[in-house]
Amino acid sequence: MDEKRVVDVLVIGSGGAGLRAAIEAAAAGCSTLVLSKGKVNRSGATLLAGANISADVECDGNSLYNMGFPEAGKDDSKDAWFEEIVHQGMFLNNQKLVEIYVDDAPDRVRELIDWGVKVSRLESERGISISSRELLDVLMRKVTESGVESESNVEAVDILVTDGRVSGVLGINVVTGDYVVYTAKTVILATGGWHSLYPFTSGSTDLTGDGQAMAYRAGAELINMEMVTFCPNTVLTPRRYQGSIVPYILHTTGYGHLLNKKGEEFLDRYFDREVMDLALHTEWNKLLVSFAESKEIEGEGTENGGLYFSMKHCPNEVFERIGQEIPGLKQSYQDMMDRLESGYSLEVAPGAEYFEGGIKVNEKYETTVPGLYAAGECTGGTFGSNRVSAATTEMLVQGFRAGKYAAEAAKQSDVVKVNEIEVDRLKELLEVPFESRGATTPASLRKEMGDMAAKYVSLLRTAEGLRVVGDRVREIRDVLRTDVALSSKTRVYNLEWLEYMTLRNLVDVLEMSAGSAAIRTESRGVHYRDDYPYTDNDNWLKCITVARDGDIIRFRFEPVVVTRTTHPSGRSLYQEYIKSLAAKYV
Amino acid sequence: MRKTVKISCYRAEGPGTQGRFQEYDVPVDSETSLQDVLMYISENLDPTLAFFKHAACRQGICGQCTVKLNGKACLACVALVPVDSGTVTVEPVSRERVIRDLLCNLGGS
Repeated sequence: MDEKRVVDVLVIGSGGAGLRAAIEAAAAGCSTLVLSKGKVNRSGATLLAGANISADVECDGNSLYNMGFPEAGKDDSKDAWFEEIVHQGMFLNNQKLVEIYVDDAPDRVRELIDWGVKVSRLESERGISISSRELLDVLMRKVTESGVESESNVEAVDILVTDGRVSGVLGINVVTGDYVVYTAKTVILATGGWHSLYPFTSGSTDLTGDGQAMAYRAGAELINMEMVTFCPNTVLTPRRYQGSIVPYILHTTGYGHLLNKKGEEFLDRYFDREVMDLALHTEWNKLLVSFAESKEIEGEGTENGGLYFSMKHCPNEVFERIGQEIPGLKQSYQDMMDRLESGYSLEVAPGAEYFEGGIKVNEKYETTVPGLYAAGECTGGTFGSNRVSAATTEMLVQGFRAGKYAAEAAKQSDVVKVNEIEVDRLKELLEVPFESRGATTPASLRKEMGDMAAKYVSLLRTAEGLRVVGDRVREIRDVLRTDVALSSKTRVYNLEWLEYMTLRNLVDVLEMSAGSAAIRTESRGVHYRDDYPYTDNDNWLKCITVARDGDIIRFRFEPVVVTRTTHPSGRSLYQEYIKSLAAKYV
Repeated sequence: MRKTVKISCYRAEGPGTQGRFQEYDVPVDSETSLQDVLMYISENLDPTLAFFKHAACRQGICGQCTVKLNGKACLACVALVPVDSGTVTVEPVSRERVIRDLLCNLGGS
């Protein structure tokens, strides 16, 4: 007999979005449970925000100034911030979601301060800097005080739907291998991105698109799935630092040089000086520097496929100043800093870092499946085709709203009985690899999908590459159904079986992402097509949505939600277009 | 310089069961972390080895991948594998609390 639990609101994911949602659902009087695939509060995307030294949480500068930060941007406004987000998202943003983001942000920042979060410095005129563990601990304390329960090491496998409405979730305790059936009136997905599809990423290993894939299988619509941000200056080698964004933080703070394999600087070959200045001092660099780095690696990259991040020739005084400017850097990353100080470089490249696309939500953060909500990075739409503003603010704003509305809905609904036949069908499916005599190992499929994503669904894309992915993904889906076998039949922390469940999710997100990228025959934001190097505002100011139709994947076009900022027209070369947008901020 | 190191890894089916050591030959260099070694074993030599992998930060922050390397507790993701010390021993932090192989109940919920 499977273990069973019944709650009002079930939250999947224990990063900032999940924890903030749970606090709000409990405050509304709902019994609330948080499931975490890893350790609650020590897993997920939030944990690595700002390399655990400087996660920035933003709101408009004027609100921040009024909270008692004299160096914040007093003359800033919510309207100005809104305009920037929409410009930087290259007009693909759902403007209703941007309005909520901008309007709610000051309340979310203020309450963090009220809850006792330690602010280490002002990150910018709009942002306070917090260590990510501190941020999670403050939220977790509040979660515990609110009477929310949590379970670690439980992987949500699928959303259970009864007569078109959410009824619960099927989970697996990853340590024991036992199934757990959760009955819930409403479910909130807060599972982050699908970083780990990519072999080179700044994210943790649990970020495997679980929420997006579960939502897809439950029949929900997803949006902008072609949009993937790569963080430039992510450490490639030495391998033991791989995935760290410390050089990225140094570079945005104004330190270090980027060099190709010959030791030459290259950034200004891709963008004019003024655009690069913008890139060096704002989060625009995620887009701009990653683009330049990807191009440069193709021609003049190192043997490992990277570039050198060097601080050679910096006098000791500079290293001392960095220590003061970025608190926590030296304590946490002393050996990396010693390496740079000694004149050796870190090899860096753009690593998969943030996913603008995701589950489509309305202003209540409800998906297109009744009773199913989503918050944080696993949603899509707010940041259009390029995120510049803080994802930590996104998680808090959306977590709050999703928690509030999921609780409201839960209070108005009765418990819907889970469909036992559906549970049995799912379990049968998940047991297949235990019985299979197939020849395919989970590790080989994981590697193949990762390599395909890195090669074809990276920053620079072509129709040909995306077609290869689309064709192969359909074959992999069949292999998964029948041919994957496990080396060990144990149920106790069977990593191959866990990998099998991950592959089910990755195949869905890869198909959605590559499929959407193939359809968008223009270049916009983080989506760059080598074969269509134009940003085309006449034909492409529309979103691509994706949903399941039986066993078939269906892509559709949808108008962008516009409330205030009207869309531009015209068509220009990608780099020229970025220059024209950037000119506003120089 | 890459060379092959013998990794002697603790294996046990569960708490209270008799454990044993299994040896693997793994190519390493001076920058190879213990997590790299375990990943290499898992992906190339023996997919049945259990170690904390499914929700790991890989950057010394989550603290979940603790094991003993040559008798000393460390985070596998940031610990370097000694290249010149003969066989390298890897064990769970506590044999009493072992769930399987290198994975221990860390006392979390």
